[in-house]
Amino acid sequence: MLEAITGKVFATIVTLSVFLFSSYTGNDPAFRTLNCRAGEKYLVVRSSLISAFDNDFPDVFKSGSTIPINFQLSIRNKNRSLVSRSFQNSVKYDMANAVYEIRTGGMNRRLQTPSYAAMLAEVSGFECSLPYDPSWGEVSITLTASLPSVRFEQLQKKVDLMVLWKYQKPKVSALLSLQKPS
Amino acid sequence: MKFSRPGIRTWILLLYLVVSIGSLLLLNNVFQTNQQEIQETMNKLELSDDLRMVQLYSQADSVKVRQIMKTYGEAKGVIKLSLSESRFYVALTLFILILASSLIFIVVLTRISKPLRELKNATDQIRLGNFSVHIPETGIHEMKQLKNSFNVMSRELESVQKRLLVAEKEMIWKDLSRVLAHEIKNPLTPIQLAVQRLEERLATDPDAAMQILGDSLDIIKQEIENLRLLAQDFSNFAKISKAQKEVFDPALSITELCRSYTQDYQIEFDLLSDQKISFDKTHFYQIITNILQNAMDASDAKQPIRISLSRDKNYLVISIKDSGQGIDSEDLHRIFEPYFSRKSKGTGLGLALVKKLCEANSAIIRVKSKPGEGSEFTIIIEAATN
Repeated sequence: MLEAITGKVFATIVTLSVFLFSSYTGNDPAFRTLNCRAGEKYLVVRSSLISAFDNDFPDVFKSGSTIPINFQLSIRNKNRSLVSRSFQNSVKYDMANAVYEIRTGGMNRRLQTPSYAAMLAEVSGFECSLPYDPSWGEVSITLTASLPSVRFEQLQKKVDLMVLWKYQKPKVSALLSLQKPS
Repeated sequence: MKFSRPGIRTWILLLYLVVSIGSLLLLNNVFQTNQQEIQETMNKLELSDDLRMVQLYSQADSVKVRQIMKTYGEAKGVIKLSLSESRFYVALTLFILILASSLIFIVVLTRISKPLRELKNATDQIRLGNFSVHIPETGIHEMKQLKNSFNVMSRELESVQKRLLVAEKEMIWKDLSRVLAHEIKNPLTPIQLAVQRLEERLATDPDAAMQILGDSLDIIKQEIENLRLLAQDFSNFAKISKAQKEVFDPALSITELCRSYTQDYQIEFDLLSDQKISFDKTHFYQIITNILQNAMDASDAKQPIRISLSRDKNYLVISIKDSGQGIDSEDLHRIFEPYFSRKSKGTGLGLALVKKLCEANSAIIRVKSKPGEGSEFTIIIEAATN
């Protein structure tokens, strides 16, 4: 509760200060609607980030260093935490071949693409499947994204990528009933 | 909430705030513009694609070029990030600075104006006669000293006020005792003399005693009546009731009141009719009777007493003028004081009562007098709206 209020106050201060005193636009990341589907044994959760990598990111992605994007998935039944898992998507630009090497944590996929747009679509997406217990009943599924600090090895410099998201962690939630119809 | 006109301190603080924030905003604007230019220049730097096109013949060259490309890419990324970071933090810092400055401004302003407001309120209390007011001695050193001086002053004023009240009470009791003793003694002497004469006659010549018995009893009765009137005067003065105002024609009341006196005294009337006042009728009778009685006491039966009623704008002016002995100028300002009298008979409460009754009915009484020429009492009463 306190964390949520603090977050909202900070977000307001940041938005106001940037709006009033800076030409810096940064990014305002958000999630698309969380798509949750319960199969026979697995629960599949899908969503993707929007407006997360529009400004300043092209140069960061093209730096040649691995740029990770963290996702935190939590499933709760009222106040009880049922699942808390972290996933990481990452991008590394191969300068010699001008291709992006992408790894998605949720489905553990690896691929390469020369297209910046295709890379963005892939790295923004989140998909994972988790085993679930129908006795969990009605659950609240929350997905949060964040950016870690990245160390640029050649320059021996560590930079917090969250500044590009103006320290705002996008979050999306959905309610899902896992009880099987009798 | 009541806002007062800002003082010089407020203006200085406000000016300081505006100048400092203005300077910060200007500085920020310059900084943001420079950052924007660097960012745009960075966007134009595209080295990697050009290097990739270069034909390399040795493995060593390839490794070296890759190394250069990687360093360049990282450097560009870091510069971009650092630029974003600095622009973001500058805006945030500026916002927090302005917020903090405004808060400090409000706090300082409150701290400066609060003690002054306290002093002003306390001074108002003193002005209203509440000398027991005490303000907490807080704030900066000079303010503490000022508050301390104020508290000392209010304590001294309170003490002086208490002493004055005690002295005034004592003086009133002394005056009252003196007047009472004097007024009671006056009728007692003739009573005593009448009784003594009767005793003497009864002892020496009982038959002759019967001859003076009637006279002696008359004297005793008269003096007892005088004592009763004296008691009534004191009683009237002590219990001036709250004015029960009613609307009536003062000319009619004056005429009715003076009817019993017109046979013995020469009273002339000049009364404007069809006028109304809102006044306690009993109080009105007491006022007119007292002034008229004084006029009659000061005049011979042949000297005329003139009563007039006129209108001046929204006010009715009643004047009672005699051609009697008049009042000495040094006594004129004391005639409304309780127990002040130059008459051989009287408690000195009549005119004091008149003054109090006028005040109770929001009327004003004035007096003009010249020794040997007579006196004129004027009562000014607001005319009642019909």
